[in-house]
Amino acid sequence: MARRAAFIRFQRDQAQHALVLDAGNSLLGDSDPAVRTRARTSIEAMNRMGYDALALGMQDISLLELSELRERMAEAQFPVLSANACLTGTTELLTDPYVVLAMADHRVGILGLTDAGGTEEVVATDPVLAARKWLPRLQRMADIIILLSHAGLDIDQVIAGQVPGIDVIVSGHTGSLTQPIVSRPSGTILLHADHAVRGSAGTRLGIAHLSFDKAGSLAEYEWRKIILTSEFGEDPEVAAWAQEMVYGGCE
Amino acid sequence: MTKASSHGGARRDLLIGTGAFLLFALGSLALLIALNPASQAWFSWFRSPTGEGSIAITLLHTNDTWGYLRAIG
Repeated sequence: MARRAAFIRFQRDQAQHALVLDAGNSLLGDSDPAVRTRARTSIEAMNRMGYDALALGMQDISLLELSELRERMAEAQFPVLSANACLTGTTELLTDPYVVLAMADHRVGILGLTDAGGTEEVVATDPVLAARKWLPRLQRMADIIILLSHAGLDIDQVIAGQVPGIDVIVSGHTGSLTQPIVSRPSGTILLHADHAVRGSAGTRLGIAHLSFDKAGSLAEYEWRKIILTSEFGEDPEVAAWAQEMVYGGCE
Repeated sequence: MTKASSHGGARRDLLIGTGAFLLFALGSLALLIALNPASQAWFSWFRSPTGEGSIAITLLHTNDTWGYLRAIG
């Protein structure tokens, strides 16, 4: 994580405008300190790295009690999104479906999606239907549209084919890419950086350089996947904090 | 002039006067809204949003990190 923090900081310093997003299942898995702290450390890590938004994955929902998840969302200094996670038996969304961020004189709309599934307390409905419902609304408020989705690459490709006007889909869950997928005829590009591997989750990230024209249409892009090997430097402050959380205990 | 034509003229004058007043009121209201910065910002959400120039964005993204926090990695 200290390498990721250093890489993000470096890229932020270099960039005219930067966005740091997470496409879900990043709160909790199989190891401490995230399990022990009920994902408190995961949120703090993302706060420290300056994430701009996170889409909830079903694992984020199912491994935490609803009250714990609400506490984590309150601690997050970034929006936690899902346009299809509802409180069971209701149509009430668990959290905000989207966020609109101002960048220069553009508005970047980010819609979050969760993979379908549920618990006793929360149900994630069909992500394709949720995308069809919410994206036209978001397009009235933003000229650049990013779908931050934990629905899985297959479903995200269906969305790209059925819902026009999405510039970029940042995908999570099933699948992983070495090259972006360009959906035709929409021109939507799909990016997917990682798939969880026990023992080495979080060592990959994607970086895209996106150029949008005056109207907010994607004009050019370049994407690559980064594997954070030992060749990458660490952020010393974050490294010290992580060391304390992992080995020093955190209650 | 008959009584009937006198009444017709008065009614026409009343309609013209009321119409002129309504036009003035609506015009003034439109001008106030148009010149108010707060209302301009509010109405901008209804316009198809576009920027005034191109923009370059560096997008960094992760997923499925499972909250792994190891100091190295």
